Amino acid sequence: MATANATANGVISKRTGSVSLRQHEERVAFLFLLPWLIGFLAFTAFPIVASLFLSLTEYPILHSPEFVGLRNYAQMVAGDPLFWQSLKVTTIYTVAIVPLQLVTAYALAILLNQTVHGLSVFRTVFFLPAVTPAVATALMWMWVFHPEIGLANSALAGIGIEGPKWLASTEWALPTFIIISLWGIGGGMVIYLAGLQSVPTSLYEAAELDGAGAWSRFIHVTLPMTSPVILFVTVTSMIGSFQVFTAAFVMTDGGPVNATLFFVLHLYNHGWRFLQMGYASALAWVLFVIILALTLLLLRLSGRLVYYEAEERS
Amino acid sequence: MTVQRRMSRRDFLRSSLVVGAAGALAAGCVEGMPAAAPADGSAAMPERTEVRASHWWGGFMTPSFDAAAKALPIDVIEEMTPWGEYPQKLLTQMAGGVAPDLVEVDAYWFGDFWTSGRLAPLDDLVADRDMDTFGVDQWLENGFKGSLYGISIFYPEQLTLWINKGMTDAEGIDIPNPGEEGFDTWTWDDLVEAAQALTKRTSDGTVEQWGMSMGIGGLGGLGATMVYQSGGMMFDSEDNYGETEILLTSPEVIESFQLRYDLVHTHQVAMPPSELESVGGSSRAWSAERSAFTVSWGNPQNIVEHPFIYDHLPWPYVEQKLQIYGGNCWALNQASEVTEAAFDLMWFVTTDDLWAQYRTDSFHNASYDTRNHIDRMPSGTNKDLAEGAVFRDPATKNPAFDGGGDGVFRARWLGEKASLRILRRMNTVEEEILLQKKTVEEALADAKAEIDGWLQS
Repeated sequence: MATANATANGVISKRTGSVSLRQHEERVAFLFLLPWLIGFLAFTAFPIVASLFLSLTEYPILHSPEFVGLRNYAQMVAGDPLFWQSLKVTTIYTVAIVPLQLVTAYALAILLNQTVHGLSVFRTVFFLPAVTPAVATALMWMWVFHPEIGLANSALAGIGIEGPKWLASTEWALPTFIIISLWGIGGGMVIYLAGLQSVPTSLYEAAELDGAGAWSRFIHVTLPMTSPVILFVTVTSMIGSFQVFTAAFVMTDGGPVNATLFFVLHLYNHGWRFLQMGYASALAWVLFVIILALTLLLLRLSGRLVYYEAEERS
Repeated sequence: MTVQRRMSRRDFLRSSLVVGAAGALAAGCVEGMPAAAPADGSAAMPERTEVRASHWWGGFMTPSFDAAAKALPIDVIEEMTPWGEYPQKLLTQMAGGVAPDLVEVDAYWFGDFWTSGRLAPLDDLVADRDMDTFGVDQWLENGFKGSLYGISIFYPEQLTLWINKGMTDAEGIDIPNPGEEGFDTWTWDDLVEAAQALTKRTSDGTVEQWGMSMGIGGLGGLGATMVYQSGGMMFDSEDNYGETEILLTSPEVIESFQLRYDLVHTHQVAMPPSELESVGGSSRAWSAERSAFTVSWGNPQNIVEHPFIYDHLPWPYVEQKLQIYGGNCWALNQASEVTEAAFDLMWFVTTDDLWAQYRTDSFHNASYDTRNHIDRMPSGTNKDLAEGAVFRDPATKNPAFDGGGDGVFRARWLGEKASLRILRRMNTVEEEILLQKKTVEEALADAKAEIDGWLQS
């Protein structure tokens, strides 16, 4: 009995000690998280809430914000032709690059998923552009698409084609950005690659035993198994395409004749060039709503197309 | 035998905290420690004041500030920001209460800065100073609603036609010598005629030499000049910051944009914008001898070494000759805690001999105080060229120019409201016109509707 009590007391004592340790660890964890939490609240959460309030004001920075209700939103729709132009430019860009990047990054990932000599080198090379500084990349592309001495037009001249003026042309400036966007597919490619490598080989073996060819295996095994990854990259790519700024700022500053006036550049102009922070905040919230709506739409549409193995199992 | 004692992670963290706290404490003590008195018991130096000064002129200002630091009990902390980002940064600094004490302001931004309420009026500070030192009325140059807000660093002159002399000589085009009789009598028609003669095409129509390279100017220097030279105005109320309407649909403004359009598309003697873009702008095109003429401000700072002989004339006029005023100036941050010292520094860098001599030696910025400045220059080509660039001084250089009769004075003007926004909008107008996306009338009418909305809001 005494032994039993002792054992029981020991258990209780251990349990008590364990609870105390957990509390202690939680406190320490919270302490370590605190700097991030303070940063998040001060530099992310507060500005988000503040921008919602500011979007209802006229706020030229140097004077206090003045409440104007929904005037900024009304002005956007009815009194700012560049709002529609920037929305048009960004939408065309998004519609063009999201599928383009999806297909090229996926194809590249499949290629790099093969057992080829020097594979890691290829993977590194294809991923490098994704980590190259955006401004350096933009400057490089300006030279590539220089109408007179650029590589693009020199190559076209080599096959007897007179190249366009690229970034200096209202017709070609946006397509040039779309072409350039392919440079950054390395990020998506790496994610696809991870997705491809997580497909169990047993599925391929089983399919092969059932007589499935390469194409059939791709359609019936690879695509469904990587569909959550495809959805993830599509959503993040769509979000990213709505937030294009650096390249446009450096290469064309929205020109010529606003042909490359992306939404965020328009927002920047109002916020930081014209110091209309209220209006810029309203633009930011409209952008947020657009992205949120499109993301929800994509998630809804993808319901039947995306296969989640875990859900199936549960 | 050596005993190695391993430090636990907890001990390491504790030690780090102790060392860090001790370091911070020591740093605080050093910061707060009073300066040691001179060991020889001599009188203490006058207390020096730190003045922060912001500009975009790179190292150009530094020697002048160094001279000021020797002459005055002031230590200057320079803060440089590129021109393109300067107004945004400065206005943001002002909003955050951390703007420098002395700030450079470009005339293009006067509308944004004068109205900001963040610059100090200088009227009391200059009350006992000799304002005749400056060749022009500072209240006219840098005034807003009767108060003075800046002291000019230089005054802009009129726009200048820069000429590749080899090309004009080869074509037999006579260029009057700057400063001589008739040097400022070139009209727009003379320019078109010369540019036509200087534009050379190969047998397949490719242009191998353009008559003119001319950048997109909107309503900036070139745009405003063209409007004024055509006899027009840009706003319904100029010089007193009371504008309510932009006059983009007036015949004179339409003509001024039409003339530029004609130069590119009708006469086909000026580089189209897409080609300008590909060569990196009008000045580069001219420097690379792709064009015989280009246009930029007449400051002798533009007189630099080129591998060809060149000359210049006042920008050919349409209806009337023009002198523009309103250049860059120094202004004081209203929130500065060292206003007196900042003003002393401002006065020094705009008036002191060292500053003037520096400008002379570096051969920059000679448009400031032109006669005094150019008189100091050593004889030679540069001095002759600078002489020619001085159109501003009617008494010595252009007796015919009296501000009336055949000439007019105008401000470099973008009004009180939304000047940065108007500047950008008008660049788009010119792009629309020159890229033939809209007719001159359409582009100007669209912009007028938009800008009037801004002015009246």
